[in-house]
Amino acid sequence: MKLRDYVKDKILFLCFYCALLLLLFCFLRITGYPADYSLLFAGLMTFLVLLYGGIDFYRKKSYFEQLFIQLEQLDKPYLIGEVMDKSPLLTDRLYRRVLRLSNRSVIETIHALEQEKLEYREYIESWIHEVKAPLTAVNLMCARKLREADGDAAFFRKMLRETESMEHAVEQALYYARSDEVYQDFLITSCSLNDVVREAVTHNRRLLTACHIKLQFDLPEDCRVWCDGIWLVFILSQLIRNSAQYRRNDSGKITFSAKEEEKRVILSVLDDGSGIPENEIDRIFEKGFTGTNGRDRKKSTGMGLYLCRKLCRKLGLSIYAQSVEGKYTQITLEIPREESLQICKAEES
Amino acid sequence: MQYIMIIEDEPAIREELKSLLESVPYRVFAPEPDADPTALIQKEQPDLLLLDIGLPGTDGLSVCSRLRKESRVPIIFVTARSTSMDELNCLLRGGDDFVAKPYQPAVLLARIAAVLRRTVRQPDEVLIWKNVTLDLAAGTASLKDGNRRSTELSRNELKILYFLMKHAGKIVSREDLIDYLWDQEVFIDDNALSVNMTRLRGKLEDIGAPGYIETRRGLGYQI
Repeated sequence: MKLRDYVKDKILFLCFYCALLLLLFCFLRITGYPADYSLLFAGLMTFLVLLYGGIDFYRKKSYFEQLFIQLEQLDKPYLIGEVMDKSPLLTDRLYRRVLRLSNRSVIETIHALEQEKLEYREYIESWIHEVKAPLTAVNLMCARKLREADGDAAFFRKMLRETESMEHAVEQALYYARSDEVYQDFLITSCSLNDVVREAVTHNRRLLTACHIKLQFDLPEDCRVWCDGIWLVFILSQLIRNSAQYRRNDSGKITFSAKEEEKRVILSVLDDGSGIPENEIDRIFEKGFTGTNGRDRKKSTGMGLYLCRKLCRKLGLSIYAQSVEGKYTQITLEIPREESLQICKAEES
Repeated sequence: MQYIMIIEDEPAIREELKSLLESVPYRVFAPEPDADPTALIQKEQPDLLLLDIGLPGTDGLSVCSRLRKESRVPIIFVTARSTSMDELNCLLRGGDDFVAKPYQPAVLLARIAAVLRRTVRQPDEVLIWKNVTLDLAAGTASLKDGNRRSTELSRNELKILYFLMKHAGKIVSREDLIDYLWDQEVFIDDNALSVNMTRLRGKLEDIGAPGYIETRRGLGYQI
């Protein structure tokens, strides 16, 4: 609150006051008071009015300054009505009441929305768990048919490939529901990188064999990382499926390589697929971004890499992409090797 | 034959699982679960228990807790809940392993075999077909009679020959073979299979069994 604004606000009062002063001065002169008496009287009155103005300005200024500080300190500014001090001024008190009532309705709405969101997420989760039972049954049935080796092996292999895609889509929805900021249901432990990579490959075996993808593993033996293994499998699975989907010809190659550094392991997934145009590479991790590649094939949702980055942030990993269009794509993950580092990173973000 | 008990409330999964395990072969008992299956489990004394977490009227975790008070039977949890927290929970309650649905049958079988191996020692397998002997423990193939020459096989060659011998006399398609290898976490493609096959044939020829693996054009392989 500036003095100039305050004066401007009181301009009407000042005009009336000046008129009053003039009237009084004339009245005093007409009734025969000497000029210096009248001036002294008018001067005294003006002094009192200015004093009142000064006190009023000071009170309002300090009250609002305090209020703005409070507002800044609150992490949910809409709660200001609940914490603001009671002002000595009537209008401020009335405004406070209005603010509180209005905020209360905002808070109620927010609570209702949060509750609704929570219920929705719980429903999605239970739905996903429910859909896994029939998927498991179909997998087992197909496996039986393959085992019994009747003539339709190719058909059941195709079917397994479809259920595998379905499983992946279902997992993606589950992780999307969980990628919420508040959801912390992961567990950082020491896990074997080789096991994680093998599991991610196994999860996508039908797609990989159907696309004739050659796999190469350049992983150090007994390499351990500090991460949630199940989440990491999902992230790798996503990268593998992207590589298989954006292969250039009827076949392709994916290379998994890892380098151990002092505090982290650098894991990269390299393919020889169609690559990403240079002007799109910065946007591939954005939600809903489907590059020219994705749009051509009409299968992309723009969610995969977005989820990868989001999960990586929660786990304290970094993820980045390098690519030359028409040549290769390489996605690199930096995974902590020690517990302490993970915690530092999580705190930074 | 080892005896496995399945506690699972979905009838379709129960039946398929039973047929899967019986094909290994294991002896399998898959009752319809009631509110408290612990008594039944204790009566049956299985070598291994496959336990679903979501059961009607109870849950697998509390069944496991109750069971652990008096029994050391190996337990593998099978569940649609798949976070690391769930996994930890299962292991804390005394489970031996944890497999998330939807699983691949091969993965489940591998986990079962691993848990059983920890508890029961199984004899090493030696396969014989025609004039060749495959010793899995030593990783060698040798001629059954005559000079008994033998050759060391690589991991991939060993698995290929094992699968062919398991299906001796039948035609095995390349897809079946690749499927089996992927089940065993050998991730090879078509070309790599051809390379491995050529090498394996070369080694068999060296010990004096040329033409042991025949190619059935358009169908696959046969021994």
